[in-house]
Amino acid sequence: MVRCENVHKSYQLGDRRVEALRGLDLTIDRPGFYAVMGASGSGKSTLLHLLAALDAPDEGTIEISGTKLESLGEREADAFRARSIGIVFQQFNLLPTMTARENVELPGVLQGEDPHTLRDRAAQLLERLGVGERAEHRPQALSGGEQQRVAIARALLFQPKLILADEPTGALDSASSARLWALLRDVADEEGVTIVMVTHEPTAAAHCSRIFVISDGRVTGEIAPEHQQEQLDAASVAARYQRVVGTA
Amino acid sequence: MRPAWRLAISALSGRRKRVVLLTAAVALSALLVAAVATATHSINASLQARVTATVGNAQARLEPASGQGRLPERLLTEAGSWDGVVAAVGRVRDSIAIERIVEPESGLAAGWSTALALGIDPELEPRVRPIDLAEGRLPEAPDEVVLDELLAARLAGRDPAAGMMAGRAGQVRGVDQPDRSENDASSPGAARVAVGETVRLRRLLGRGEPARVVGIAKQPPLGGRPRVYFTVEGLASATRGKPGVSEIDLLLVDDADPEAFVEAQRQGIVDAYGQGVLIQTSARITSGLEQNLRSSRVGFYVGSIMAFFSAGFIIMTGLTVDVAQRQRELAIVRCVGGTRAHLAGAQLIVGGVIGTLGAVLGIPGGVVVTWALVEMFKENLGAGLAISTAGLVLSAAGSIIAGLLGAAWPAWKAASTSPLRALSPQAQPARTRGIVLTLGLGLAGVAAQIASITLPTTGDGVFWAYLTFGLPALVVGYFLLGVPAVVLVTRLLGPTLDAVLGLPRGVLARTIAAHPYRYGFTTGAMMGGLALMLSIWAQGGSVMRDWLGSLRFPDAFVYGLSLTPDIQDRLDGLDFVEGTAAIAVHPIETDAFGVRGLTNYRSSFIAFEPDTFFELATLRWVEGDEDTARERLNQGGAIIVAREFMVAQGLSVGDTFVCRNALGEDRTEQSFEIVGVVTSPGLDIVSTFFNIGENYTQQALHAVFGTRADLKERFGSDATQLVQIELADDVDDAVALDTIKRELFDTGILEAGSGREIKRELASVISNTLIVSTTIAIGAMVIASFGVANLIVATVESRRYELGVFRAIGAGRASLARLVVGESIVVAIAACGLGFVLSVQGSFAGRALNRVLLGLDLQPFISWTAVAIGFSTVIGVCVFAALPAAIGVLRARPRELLAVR
Repeated sequence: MVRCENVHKSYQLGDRRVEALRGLDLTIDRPGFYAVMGASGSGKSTLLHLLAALDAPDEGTIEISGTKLESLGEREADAFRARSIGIVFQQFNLLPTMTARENVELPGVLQGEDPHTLRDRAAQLLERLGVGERAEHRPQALSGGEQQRVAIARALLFQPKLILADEPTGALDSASSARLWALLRDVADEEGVTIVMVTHEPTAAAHCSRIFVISDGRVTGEIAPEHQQEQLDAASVAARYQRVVGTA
Repeated sequence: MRPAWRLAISALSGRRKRVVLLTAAVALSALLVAAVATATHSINASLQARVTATVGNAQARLEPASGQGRLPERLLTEAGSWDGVVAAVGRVRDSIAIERIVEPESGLAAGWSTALALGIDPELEPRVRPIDLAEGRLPEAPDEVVLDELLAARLAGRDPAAGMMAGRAGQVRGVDQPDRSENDASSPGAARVAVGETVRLRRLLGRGEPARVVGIAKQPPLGGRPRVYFTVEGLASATRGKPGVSEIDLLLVDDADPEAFVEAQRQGIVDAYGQGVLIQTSARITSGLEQNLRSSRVGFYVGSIMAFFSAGFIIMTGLTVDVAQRQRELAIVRCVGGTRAHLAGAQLIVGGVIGTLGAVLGIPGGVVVTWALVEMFKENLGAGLAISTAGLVLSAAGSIIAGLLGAAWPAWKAASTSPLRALSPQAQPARTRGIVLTLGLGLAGVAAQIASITLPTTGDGVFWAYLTFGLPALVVGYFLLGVPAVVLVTRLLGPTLDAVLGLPRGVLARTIAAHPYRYGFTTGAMMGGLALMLSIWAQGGSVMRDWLGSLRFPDAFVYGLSLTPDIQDRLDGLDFVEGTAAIAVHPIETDAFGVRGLTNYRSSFIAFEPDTFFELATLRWVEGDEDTARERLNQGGAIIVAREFMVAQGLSVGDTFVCRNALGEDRTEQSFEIVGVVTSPGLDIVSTFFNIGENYTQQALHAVFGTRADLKERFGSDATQLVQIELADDVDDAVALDTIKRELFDTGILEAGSGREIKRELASVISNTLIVSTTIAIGAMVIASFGVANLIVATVESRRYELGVFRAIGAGRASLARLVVGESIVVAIAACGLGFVLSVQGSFAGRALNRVLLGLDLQPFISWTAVAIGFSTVIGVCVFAALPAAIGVLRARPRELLAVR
C-alpha cells in the first residue's frame, strides 16, 4: 500500500542546509487509520509532501499502491495525486470562491470528469459526511468542522486508496476534533481507505490503529495497541511516545 | 480547457469586487484607446476638410509649363489611367468681370465685380476640391453658374469684408444703379444675388450670354477672391476661350508618395508632350500641410500603441496582485490535481474576459466621450464626429490582446506556483538581483528604441522598426523601470515623507521594499497616461512653433496689375504702415525649359528688394544661404529659384540661367547666376488665399526671383504688381485694410488682404486643434490614472491582512491611513519622473521620425504647463484613489482586517 525505503530529503534554508529526512523507512500494508507523530521539525510534514507527490525525495523510493512516485513526471504526478491520493489540510484549504459542492467537485473538474456524475458523487459524499444541507454554501458560511468535512469529501471524490491528513483538527475545537477523528476512522474502516494523519497531538493519534513515531528524519518507533481489545488513549500514547523518543 | 474555464469562472464570480475594479480599469483604458482613435479621426477629418477646402485634395498637378494656355486634350484621359492615380480632374481657371442682370423696375442693385472663374467638372471636382454649397447645386449646363457668397454679395452691391464701394470707371467692382439694398436689408434677396437670378460676363467689347445662378457656395475657410463656378464648357463658351482644361489635379492612392510619383511621371510626360507640360506636387504637399496631417497620423499610431500598453500594464498589474493574493488557492488547486496549464489557462481566460468586457464597456464610452468633446468644440471640428471603424476594431482587438498579454505574466506566475511554498506561505522578500534585472531589462528596452530609430537606413525602415519594435520596447522598458524607480524614490524621499506624514522612520521604505514589483508595476501603469498626455502636447507644441512659426507672411498685401511707385509711397505714408516691399512680376522668355530653337517659353522674373523681402517672408534654403544670396543679389546678375524649379529644370546653385525680355523691343539675352534654391510654405498658402498664382507664387514653380535693380537695368521695367506691407502691431487688420482700400481705390488695385489674418486663421485652426488634442490628452491621462487608481484600491484591499498585523502590533488607525497615502505618493512621484523622461525620449524619437519620414524638422517641445498639469493630476489621482482605501482601513478594526484570510 505505502512503502518508503531509505528516503532522504534536505532543504536549503538561507545559508543552512537542513536534512529533513535521513533514510526514512515506512511500510503500511493494509487499509486503516494511521498517524505519523513527531515533534516540530522532525520531518513529518516533509514526509507528507513526499507521499502526496508534491515533492520528490533526494534519494530513496516511495511506492504507493504499486506506483513508484519517482517514476512520475509532473503531469503524471498531478493526475496521480488527483485520482489516487486525497489530501486534507489543517486550514481546510477550500477555495473561498466556490461552494462546498463545487469544492468537492474540483478535482473531478480538473480531470475533465462528467459534470453530472461529479455532481451526484459530490452530493453523496457531502450527505455521507453530514454536510449535505450545506452543499451550496461557500466556505465562509460554514463552521470549521463543516469545512473540514467538506475537505474530507473532496479528498474522497475519486475513492483514493490513500488519504493524507496534515494536522486536520489543528484549527478545530475539541468537540469538533473528536467528531472528525471518529469520522476519519469510520471512513477508513468503511471505505477501505488508508488514512495517514500527521499530528503532534497524542489525543489525535490515540484514534489511530497504528502510530509511527518520527524523529530526526527517521521512523524511530511505532505505537500500536498491544492486543486487539486495547483502546489507545491520549495518556498512554503520550507515555509510549516519550519512551520511543527517549530511546531513539 | 474546461477545467481552466471552470477555475476562471470561479475566480471571476468569486471576486466580483476585484473583477469590477479590474474591468473598470480596462474599460477606462479601452475608452481611452477608443477616444484617442475617434478623436484623432475626428480632428483629422476636420483638418482634412479645412485643408482640402483651402488647398484641395489632390497631391499632384499638371499645368502648362508656360503657366498659360490649355493642356493637350488627351492628357486628361491619359493621366486618369496612370498607375497610382485615383482620379484626374481637369479645370479651367480665368479672371473675369461679371455682372448681375436685373429688371430696371425691380429696384435691385445691379453690381458687378471681377472674380476668379473656375470651369469645373461637376462630377469630379468635389473629389479634389469640395465646394461647400450654402444653397442650390453645382452647375451642370454651360449656361449655369454658382457664385460664392462674397461674389453674390458684391453683385448685390455689398462687400461683407470691406463694405460697399461706390462704382467708378476702372474699378474692380461696383454698382451701376443706385444701391437700395440698405432699404431692403430685411430681404435676403437684397443682401446677395439669389439662386434663380441671372448674371453675365462683362467684356471689353460687349457682354456675354446670360447664365442662371443655380447655387451659392460658401467661401473657403481662409477666404480669398470672389469666385464663380462654370462647367468647363460653360467657361470656355463665356470667355470665348479655347476648349480643354488649364490644369489637371491628380488624386493619388492613399499610400502614394507624391514626390516620387511626380518624379516617376516627369520623363514620360516630357517624352509624350515635350517640355510644354509641367507636373508638380500640389500646394497641399508643398505647403507642408500634408506632412503635418501624416505626422498626426503617426502620432495616432504612437498614441494607440502607448494606450494599448497602458491597458496591458493595468491588467497585468491587477492580475499579478490578484495572483499574489491567491497563492494559497492556486496551491490548493495544484494539490488536488490542477496542472500548471490549468492555472495559466484560467489566468489567460480571466485576462481575456476582462479585456473583452472592458472593450464592450469602454469603446462605446470612448465614442460617447469624444462625441461630447466634438460637440463642445463644434466650431473647430467642422467635420463633426468621425468614427474610425478601423480604429474601433483596433481598440477592441487591442483591449483583448492587452487583456491576454496582461494576463500572460500572472499566468506564468500562477503556473509557477509551488504547492509547497504556497501551503506554508512565508513572505518572499524581493531579491536585489530581481530589481537589478528589471533595471537591466528596462534599460535594454530604452536602448532598443534608440536603435530602432538610428539603425535603419530608410524612412520606411525607421517607421516600421519604431512602431513594431522600438516603441513597444521603450514602453515596456519604462514600465520595468518602474520597479527600480519606486525603490529609488523610496530611498531618496522615504525619510522625508516619513517625517512629513508622521510615520515611524523607515516604515515607508520597508513597506515598499516588501512589494517593490507591485508598487513598481503600478508606477509603470500610471506613468503611461502621463507620458501620453505630455507626448500629445509636445507634438502639438512642436507643430505650432516650428511649422506655423515658420510661416512668416507679410502682414498685408496689395495686389494689382500695375502698381506704381506712387502707390508704394502712399502706402508708406499711412501711419499704421511700418514698411513696404514692392514685388514686380515681369514676363521673360527662356529656353531653360529645354526646347532650344523651337519654342521660347514664357516665364516670370519676380523682382524684389532683397533686404526688405527677406525681412517679410521666411524662406527655407534648400541650397545656398540667405547671407550669401543677399550679398550676391545686391551685387546684381543673380537670382534665386524655387526648389520645384530646381527639380524640374535640373538647375541649382552656381548654374547660369539665361532669359530674354518678353516685352518691348530689346530681346538681348540676359544671364543670371543662381545663388539660392528655396521653398516657402507661407507663399504657397498666400498664393492660394489671394489666388494670384498666375502672377505671383504659382509661377514661382517656374519663375525666378531677382532684384528690382536688375529688372530695371536689364529689362527696363519698374512697375510692380504686389506690395507687401508690414503693419503696426496695434492696428486692427480690418481697419487697416479698409483704410488701404479706401486710400487706393482709384489706383487699380485688384485686391488687398491681410497676411496676419491668414496666419491667425491657421493659428486658430491649429491652436484649437491643439486645445482639442490637449483636452483629449488630459482626458486620456485622467482615464489612465483612474484605471490605475483601481489598482491602488485593489492593492490596498489585498493588503488588509498585512495592515491588520500592523494594527495588531500597535500601529494606530491614523498611522495606517497615512502609510497608505504615503505609498501612493511614492508611486505618484516615481510615475511623474518616469512619465516625464519617457515623454521626452518619445518626443526626440518623434522628431527623428518626422524628419526621416516626412522631412519635417520639429524640435522637441516641453510645455511646463502641461508638465505641471500632468504631475498635479497624477499625484492628485493617486492620493484620491488611495483615500477611500485609507478611510476603509481607518474604520476597520484589527480583527476585521485580520479576518480577510
